[in-house]
Amino acid sequence: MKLYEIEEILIPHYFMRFSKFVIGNLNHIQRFELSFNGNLCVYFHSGNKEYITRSYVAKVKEKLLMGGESND
Amino acid sequence: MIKVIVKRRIMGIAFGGITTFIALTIIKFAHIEQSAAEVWNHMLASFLLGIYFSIASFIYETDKWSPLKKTIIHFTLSITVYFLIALPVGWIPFTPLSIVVGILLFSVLYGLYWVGFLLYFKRIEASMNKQLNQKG
Repeated sequence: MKLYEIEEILIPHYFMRFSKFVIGNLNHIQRFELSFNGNLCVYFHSGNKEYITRSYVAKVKEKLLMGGESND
Repeated sequence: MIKVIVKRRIMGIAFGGITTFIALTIIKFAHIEQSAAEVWNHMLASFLLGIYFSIASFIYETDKWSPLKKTIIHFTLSITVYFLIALPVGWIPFTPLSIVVGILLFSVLYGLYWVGFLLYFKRIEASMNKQLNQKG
């Protein structure tokens, strides 16, 4: 299965493409941190760390503002 | 793409025109006599510079490059083009001191750009973190 196929399934469930290699759950992000190369470092509640590349930041931000969160 | 390039080139020419007009206004009201040939040189230089900077804006739109890479490429290219245009028309005297001052001013300007961009990205970071905290 390709990542973009997984993306299609997961997108309605608070998931979002972070980069070419990463799909992440917006509900499990603890905080963002700007890194020097302009990418956004993501710290998850689990302690994992991933990066949102520059070209995906705007989309992630938009989804976050639209309430990609709140899943109880 | 070509449409955008043409559009920006026209914007560049417009900026060159405005700059020249400001210079001409000063010349007029200071009652300085200038030959048409001299004014023509400066106007051409302004247009060329305007066109260059309008096209160079594409560097900053290349998403694949990191901010540092964009800044360095834009800086190197701009300073080269600027000196190639400014030296022959005499905006900068051809002396070591004025060239050093020119490079220094360029560096300060780009330093300011850099700080500006940093603040902008920091704001994005902060607003996204705020969003997280509101939900959590």
